[in-house]
Amino acid sequence: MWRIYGSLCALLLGAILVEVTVIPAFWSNLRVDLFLGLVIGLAVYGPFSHGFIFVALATLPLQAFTGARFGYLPFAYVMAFFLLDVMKGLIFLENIVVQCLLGFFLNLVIVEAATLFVRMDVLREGWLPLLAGAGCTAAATPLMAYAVKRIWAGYEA
Amino acid sequence: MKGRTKLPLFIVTTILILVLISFGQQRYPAATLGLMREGYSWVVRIADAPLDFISGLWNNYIYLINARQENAVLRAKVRTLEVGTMAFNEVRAENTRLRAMLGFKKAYPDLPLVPAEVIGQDISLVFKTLVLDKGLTEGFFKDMPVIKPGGLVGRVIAITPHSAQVLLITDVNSAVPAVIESSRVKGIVKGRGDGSLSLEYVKSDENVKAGDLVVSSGLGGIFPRGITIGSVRSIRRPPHKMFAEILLKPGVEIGQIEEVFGIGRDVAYLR
Repeated sequence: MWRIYGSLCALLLGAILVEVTVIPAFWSNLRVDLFLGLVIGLAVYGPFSHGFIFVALATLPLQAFTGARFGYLPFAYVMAFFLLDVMKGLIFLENIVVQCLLGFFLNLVIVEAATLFVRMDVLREGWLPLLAGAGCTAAATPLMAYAVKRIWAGYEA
Repeated sequence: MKGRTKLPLFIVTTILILVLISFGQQRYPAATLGLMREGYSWVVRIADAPLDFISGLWNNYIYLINARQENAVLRAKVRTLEVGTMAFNEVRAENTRLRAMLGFKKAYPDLPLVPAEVIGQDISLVFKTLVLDKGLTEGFFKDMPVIKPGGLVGRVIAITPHSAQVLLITDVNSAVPAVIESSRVKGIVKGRGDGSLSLEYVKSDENVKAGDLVVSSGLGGIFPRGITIGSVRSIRRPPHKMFAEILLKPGVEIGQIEEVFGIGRDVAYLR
């Protein structure tokens, strides 16, 4: 069990490094949510209890790299995880296209939800970074989900 | 996990998160978050170390050996020049930035300025914070004003021994007491989240015009007086409102910050 949590933590650290330092170095306004792919991967391929615990705990290091009020990120991602768990019984979430669409729309939903806390219109900054970020998140989501699947398969083997 | 245990877990989690958010409203500094940023600053340092080593090895040893081998140098010359041109452009841009910062420091010799580099930005599109590579050990402290040669950048909101998180003036949670330099009209500069600023609580009949320079007023005790914040971009005076709607253009290009200065303690006036 520690091995799988260790691998997931390494994946999380890599995602943070890319989100916080690498991507803003290329385009200051671009934000790609790699963690969302991890959440989707955990919801689809992992058992509920482990996925839930990891998602809840992993939002804490993420919170250190945002000016968002303490509690917002756990709220957003845990709710996304519960939503995905419900959807798992209704839609075939292992499909790559479905994962891309989920990545795209959940990214937009999470960004828009954040604006409720600060009462601002994120589109005022321009729709291009928002859509580009959602598009990149959509592209990265199946990759992150696949990484989680491989980690979980390796653990079960 | 069985379905009947998920619902109680959902309810308990939601309550816990709401409690967390209510604590967050009071902005209690979370020690764990500081630890995360501190750890991250070390990860970035460790990740940079092999690159620095390879770069040093190349510049100080391998490249010198190659320099002695004239034939090899001649064959590689065109390629090296091409790569050199790219590197030169980057170095030139960096040189320009550093010269501006050096000039700024020379212009204010008595000002205790602590330089720092940006190592990370906020993970969300909505909130505007930066992570710096300097912390308590290098003289940074909580609420320390952070500037660039063009003007005010923000203030430190969380600090660890080797990293600091800066709330940018463009964040919607940021508020800076300010004054219009020419007319001395006072107001509060707030971030709008879209990269621009607004000057609030200025009466509609006050003397404000586009292009006016806005500087920090020194009220509140966090920001020294006289730091450039930005300039007035537009003014609207709605007929039935007491205050004018004033938009500002920040003095610094917020999206292109790579190096900054923290201003040391006990500085009341900048000019």
